Amino acid sequence: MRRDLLIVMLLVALAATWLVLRSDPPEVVSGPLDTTALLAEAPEAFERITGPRPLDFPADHAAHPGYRSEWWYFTGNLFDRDGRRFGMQFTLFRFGLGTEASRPSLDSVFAADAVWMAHLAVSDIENRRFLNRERFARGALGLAGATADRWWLRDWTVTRTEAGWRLNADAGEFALDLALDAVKPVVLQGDRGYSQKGPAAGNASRYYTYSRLAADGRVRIDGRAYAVEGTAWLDREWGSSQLGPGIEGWDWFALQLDDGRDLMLYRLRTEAGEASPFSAGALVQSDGATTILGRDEFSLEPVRRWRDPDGVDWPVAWRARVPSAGLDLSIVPTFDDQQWRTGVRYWEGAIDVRASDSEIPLGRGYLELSGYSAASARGRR
Amino acid sequence: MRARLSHGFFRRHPGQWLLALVGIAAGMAVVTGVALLRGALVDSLDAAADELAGRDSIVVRPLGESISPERFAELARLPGAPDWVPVVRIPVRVGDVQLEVIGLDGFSAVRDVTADSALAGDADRLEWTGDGPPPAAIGRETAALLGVEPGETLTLEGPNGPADLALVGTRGAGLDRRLVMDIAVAQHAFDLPTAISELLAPGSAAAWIERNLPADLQARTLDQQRASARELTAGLRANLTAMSLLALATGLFVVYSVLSFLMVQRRRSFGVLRAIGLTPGDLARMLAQEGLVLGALGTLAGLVVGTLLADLLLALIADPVRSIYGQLALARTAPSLGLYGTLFGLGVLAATAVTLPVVREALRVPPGRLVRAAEAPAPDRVGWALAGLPVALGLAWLALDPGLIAALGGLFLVLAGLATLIPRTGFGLLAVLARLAGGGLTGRAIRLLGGSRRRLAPALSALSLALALAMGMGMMILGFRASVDDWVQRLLQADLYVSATERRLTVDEVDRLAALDAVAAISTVSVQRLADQTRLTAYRLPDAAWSGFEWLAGDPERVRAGFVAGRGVAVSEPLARARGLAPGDLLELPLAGGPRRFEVLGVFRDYSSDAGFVAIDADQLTGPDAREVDSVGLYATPGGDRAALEADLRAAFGAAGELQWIGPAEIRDQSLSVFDRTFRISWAMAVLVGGIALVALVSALLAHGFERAREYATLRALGLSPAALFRLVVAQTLALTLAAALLAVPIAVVVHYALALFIQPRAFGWSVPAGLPPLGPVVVVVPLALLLGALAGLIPAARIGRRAPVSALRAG
Repeated sequence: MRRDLLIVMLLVALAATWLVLRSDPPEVVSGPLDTTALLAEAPEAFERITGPRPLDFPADHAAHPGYRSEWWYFTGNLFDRDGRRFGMQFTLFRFGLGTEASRPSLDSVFAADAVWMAHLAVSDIENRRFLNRERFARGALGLAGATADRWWLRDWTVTRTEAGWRLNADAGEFALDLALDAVKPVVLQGDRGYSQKGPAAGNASRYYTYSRLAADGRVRIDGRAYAVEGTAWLDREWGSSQLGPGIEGWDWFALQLDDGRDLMLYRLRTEAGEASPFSAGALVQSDGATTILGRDEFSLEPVRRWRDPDGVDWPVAWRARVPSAGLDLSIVPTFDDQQWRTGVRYWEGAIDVRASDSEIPLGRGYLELSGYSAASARGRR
Repeated sequence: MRARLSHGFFRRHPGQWLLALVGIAAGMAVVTGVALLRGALVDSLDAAADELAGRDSIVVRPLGESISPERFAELARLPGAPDWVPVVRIPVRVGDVQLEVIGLDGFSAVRDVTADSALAGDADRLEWTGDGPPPAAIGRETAALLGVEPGETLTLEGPNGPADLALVGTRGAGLDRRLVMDIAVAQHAFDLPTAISELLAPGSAAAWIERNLPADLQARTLDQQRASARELTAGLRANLTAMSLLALATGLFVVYSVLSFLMVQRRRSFGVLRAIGLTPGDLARMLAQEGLVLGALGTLAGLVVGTLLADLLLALIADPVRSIYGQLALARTAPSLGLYGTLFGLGVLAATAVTLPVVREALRVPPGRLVRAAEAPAPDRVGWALAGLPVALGLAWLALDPGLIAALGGLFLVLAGLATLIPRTGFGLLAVLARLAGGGLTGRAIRLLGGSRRRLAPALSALSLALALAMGMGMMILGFRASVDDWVQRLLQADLYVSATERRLTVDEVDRLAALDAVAAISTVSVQRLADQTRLTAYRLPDAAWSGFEWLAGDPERVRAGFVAGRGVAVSEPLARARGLAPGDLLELPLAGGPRRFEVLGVFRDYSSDAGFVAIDADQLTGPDAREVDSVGLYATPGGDRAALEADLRAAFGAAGELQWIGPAEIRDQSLSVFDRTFRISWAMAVLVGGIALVALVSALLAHGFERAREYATLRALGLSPAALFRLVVAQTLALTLAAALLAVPIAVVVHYALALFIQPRAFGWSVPAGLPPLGPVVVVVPLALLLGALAGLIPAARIGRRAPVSALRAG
């Protein structure tokens, strides 16, 4: 009887296991894009930035289709008449899908040479609300693009004006309508706009900046419009495989000081958490005169970290020193949660700049932190 | 000890035990198979959109042909527009397997919309570098279905020719029978450079879409899609469920008849057990446990077999679901543990329930009874009244409630009533057979059956009902097929039908067709879908075409006069049923120029769709493309024929190669092959029910043979030769089978009419002319049953023949 029982039990176990396996739904895995990987790799067919060349404006405001990635990056701090403060960001990213020679020629209205992504954000500092919206579009059917005079993704547009640009972007819940007039001339980063970011040829980008734009216009949040003024910053950059190997992310600072000076610093972070030797910066005087800063001419030190809902720590407060300019700055976020949790994970937020000893306010700016999510995921693995 | 006793008994009688197990397993397998299939019909119809865009997303589809790229770009640029995901759906084939290629914008908004979906990680892999064939993501199940592996190249037959694709694996569960590609690559590979089938948007955009969507586009949530799929397939699913419950009922009859035969064999041991002190409670627990174990094991086996069966059935319905509902079914069903749990509970409960009467009987065995009681003649308790009650109730339900459930429930009650009559009639029939056989051995053998009346009654009922169901379903399908054939032949009055590939015929082409020498007259048909999803077919018909309509309501002459004068419209039977329309009613149609009201002039027979359509005179339609048509029927001049027409056509259009034509005979063949594909699932159900009926037959006869072993031994001891005994046993089983089969025939006719006249019209909206039932199924099933009946008798007969009478006499 025991043997029969055993056989029956075995058959029952087999049948039950089969049924359980059969009803098992397949596993679904997905995750955000890894920005660092996007910038570190590019198929051979793309052109590389290997040395300085003269930049030509306004022609170079337009897209550069031979390169893997490119962006048009506005950030700024705005105030309404009652002193209510807002942070703003509008970014247009372009990711090339291949060059004309390397791409198959498709007979399709959706055939595209690039995918475009736009990020629009307003930091409502009084209410500690980070409003943000991400959009994608294929570079087809006129849905997105960038010419010398116009940069757009669907109905979000930046048009060139005599004095600068006009930004118009409506995300429904919030919107920006700003005139952005250049106060200082263009700053060519690195060596005449050639910004080397890694040891190999091609680990570089073309990089120019308008470090101070006078902003004037309207911010709308939840149907209420605020007339605002303030200062903004425009970064333009393009290249292929600009990050060298072993780079995990970057910390980027755009600081506008009350004394008229602007300071840009970026720290390329290695997997060991150290600053790469290709980290750099630029100090722009109030008259536009620029000093390029090498890795040894400044220091950046995280002071405080904020933990996001996924448990990843982001260094949102910093101490920045540029001894040659007599600057020892404390950089603190206007509020902690200014994190993009969409297709790409990064922290991009309005900050205050203070004297690090006396805490006296010295200016404002924007901070960008990237690569921490991917690093955390790698750490967990 | 109880378990030991049960085990010992079943060990000695493995055959009976297995038969009971097979009975439950077979019944539960059909129930499980159909339950899974039901789920697949509803859930999978738009599983792809679900998979790609998440549960709350919105699908925007055009009411007309497709969405133009300019239109999409315009919609995308509107202020506040959602992140549309443009999608192209391309029907493709690999051999006989129908699939769909879904091309979507895997790079753009789809990231946002599909952030939580299984495809999120695959977008980059769908990028085509131009090296090798274009990539397409394929799910595990679809790859298994086609026998391919990710990494291989697959050739798909698309609407504009074949395309080679490089397969990339994906985890997407809802992507059964679907391959996903980048939209640009898909458009390129299948030569559809501008096609956009639909736009997906996140659920959060509902308010914006409602405010801004143009009238020629329609937005629906996936839940609404699912609800309409549920509605669309309600008839099919209800039919399948009813059939599966009938199969289960038949399976349970098997269990009951086996258990009650076993009971007879154990009478003696129960007597002994009671004598040595086993209480009735102990005995009841022992039998209940046996029922439970038997039920659990049988159900478990049924779940496994049913799951495999569901996948087979799914293969049968994949084609009809595609052609009737325009949707793809899953490659494999998706069972859940919850569903398995529920079915397991149902199976165990049902199996335990049928053991109750057996337990009750066991408890009546007095202590110490060592010999079998001679069976008392069955009291004539089952009066006509008792049988009449469920029949009357069933008929009343059928008459009073016009719903499908009432039709199925009514049929169930009528059959239950008839089942109680079967034993009485059956034994009457056996008595007649015995008289016909005369006073010889055969006659006596049949008369002996009367002694087992109570044992045999349930088996006889189960057998007759199951055979009747199988035959009735077969009759309905054949009858329906004949009706469809008549309808198609009547409908197709023209000599040749002309259409264009991938577009409509222009006014100019229609005029040129009408002017051909061999053409005496033309008819035109153009089909459009109105804003409320009603299908509107505009006709321009010559005199000869009018006889193609079979009018179910309305005076033909009046209908025709009113139709041509534009006074009203005609509606097809399914639409008339669905909307309760009759001649004289008013019907409002949302036409291009604004809503207009028409009188319903008549209702005509139509089997082309179960949603039905409205027929209107073509002159009533206005608008720029109102004169373009979908097809033109050519009527040859007197004395002319198809060959002359084709010669003319080739001369006038041959070079262009854009027109295609087909004759009525080919259309008829195509229609019937669609019909045959559609009804394959019904045939499968009929075969399953029939199969279980035959299991019931064999089990009942085997059990009967084993039960009578002692009696046979007595006959042998009294001098009956083995050959004579052999004849006696075979005569008995054949007589029983014949009685069951003969009784099944009139019940099958009842089932046929119930299906044809009530269930089909209520499920699909179309009626079938009530002619004589086709007898094909009877010709197949009855001889098969007799053959199996004879075989089932031979096994016990051979065993008895081999055994020495003395040992058989001793055996309990």
